[in-house]
Amino acid sequence: MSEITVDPVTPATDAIFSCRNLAIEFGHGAHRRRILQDVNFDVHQGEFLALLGTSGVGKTTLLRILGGLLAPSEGTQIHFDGAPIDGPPRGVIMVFQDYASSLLTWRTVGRNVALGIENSLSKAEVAQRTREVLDMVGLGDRIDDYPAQLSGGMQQRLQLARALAMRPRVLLMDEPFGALDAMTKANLQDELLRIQRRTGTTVVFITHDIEEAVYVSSRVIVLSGSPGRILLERDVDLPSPRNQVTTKEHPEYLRLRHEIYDAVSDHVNS
Amino acid sequence: MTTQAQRARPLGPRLLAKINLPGVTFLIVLFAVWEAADRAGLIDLMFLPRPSEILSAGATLIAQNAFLPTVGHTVSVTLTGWAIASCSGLMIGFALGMSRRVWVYSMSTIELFRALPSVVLLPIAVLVFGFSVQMELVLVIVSAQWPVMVSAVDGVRLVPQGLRDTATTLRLGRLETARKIILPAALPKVLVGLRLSLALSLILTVAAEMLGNPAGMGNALVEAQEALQADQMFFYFLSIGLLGVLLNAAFVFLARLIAPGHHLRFAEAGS
Ligand SMILES: Nc1ncnc2c1ncn2[C@@H]1O[C@H](COP(=O)(O)OP(=O)(O)OP(=O)(O)O)[C@@H](O)[C@H]1O
Ligand SMILES: [Mg+2]
Repeated sequence: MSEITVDPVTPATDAIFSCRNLAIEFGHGAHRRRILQDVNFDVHQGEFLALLGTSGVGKTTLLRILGGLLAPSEGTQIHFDGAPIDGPPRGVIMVFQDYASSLLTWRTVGRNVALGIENSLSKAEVAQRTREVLDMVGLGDRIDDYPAQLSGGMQQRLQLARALAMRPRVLLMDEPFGALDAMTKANLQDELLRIQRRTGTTVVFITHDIEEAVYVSSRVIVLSGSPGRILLERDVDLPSPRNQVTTKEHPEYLRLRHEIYDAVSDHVNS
Repeated sequence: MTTQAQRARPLGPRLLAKINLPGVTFLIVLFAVWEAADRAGLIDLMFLPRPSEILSAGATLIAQNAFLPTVGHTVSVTLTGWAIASCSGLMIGFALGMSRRVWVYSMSTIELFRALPSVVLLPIAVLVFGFSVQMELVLVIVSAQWPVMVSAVDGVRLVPQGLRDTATTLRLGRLETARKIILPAALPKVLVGLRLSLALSLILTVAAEMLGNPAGMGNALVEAQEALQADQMFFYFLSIGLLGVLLNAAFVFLARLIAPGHHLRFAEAGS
């Protein structure tokens, strides 16, 4: 089932991210365990890449490596803009799954958004940028509230706004809507797609939900096994803008969903 | 929204609203019942004066200008000692919390000194500083800095990984991370430590006055006892209790003013 569509040796030159022979271990001595192995893929300018996999397969770990929060094992070749990664690459911002613990409860919504830009921009620019991104995520009227006064969906919107304020080239999103109810989740998916179309931001999006992965992305990579490897990689050729009803009735959507389900359950059962 | 609503209301009503009316009423009724039972001869507590006798002894002490100077002494030693203990406790605590190396080297020493009951220090303090204000202060400072220090260490070490990751991905520098993320995130824990230290400071000040330096409310209480003035003794006893309540209330009030966004979490962690 496994297929590798990138050359495992030569780093791609046109890609934003290029991962070759990515591997990582955790633990010491007898407890040392390999979590990811032989992971090869590229992230291209402007794409919406969904990383799909069951719980514990190493999705978060992979995203943290891309975000420069975690160093992979020796032998891994990982490049951003053609240069090896050490530390968070410029223009790459992560959006974390646990929004509650990544917001500053003592700062208002507006001041949370300002956190990443207040050091480098003038007061007026910060105010203007804050307005702009809060309007973009539909929180324009909550600028003076504290995060504790927002619902879960709003808190995740706020985290997205804070990332967008940095004008990122790449957004790395770790199951951003995993903790939300179905309706809020659908709203936020569409909002994110709208923002992505408008800003041209490249998005790497983690999820364990096959339908979500196919719905939002332009390409899906499925991780599976222990240690985790790439099981499957598919382009998603669905018309844009996506629509919660019509896209999910589209023959190609149904076909991809079916194929990925089969691949994942075959792999789990074998 | 809550914070703004609270800010808009004037100070007086806001303070009044903080007082637990049923609780205070119960306490007053308790004293009234005690008074009535004693007068009616239902109970006979040999050395225990009636509430009315305690109050009149207090009125006399105040009229003789003997009471307020002792309060002044005790409060100023408590607050001075607490302030110094807080500064040193916070500085050491943050250093320990932020640097793994400092932590590893100093933990055993700290555990040893922290395990010593504060009273053990009293004879040493008297030996070194005599019966003086310095001796009171040293006792307070040495003992009251532990809660602050430990809470600062905990506060820094228990900053959620999500916040640290946020700082990294937003490319905040080390200093910026400490100032904008670590210290504010540690604040609720630190406030709890500061509050414990304040209570401890009062306890140790009074203990030092009772056993060492002949000044302040602690000493007045002991002198009243030695003179067999039970009513005066109980007046000091109750006054020290009330002083503890007032200091705590003042602290909580100030803490909420300083850290409005924190008020929810602080309330959970504290009271
Ligand atoms: N710091 C760490 N130390 C040791 N093991 C770790 C560490 N971080 C992750 N792991 C292990 O690595 C594996 C992959 O974890 P990871 O969080 O990447 O999974 P995930 O695919 O994101 O799962 P989920 O969908 O539940 O979030 C797990 O088995 C986890 O126990
Ligand atoms: Mg995860």
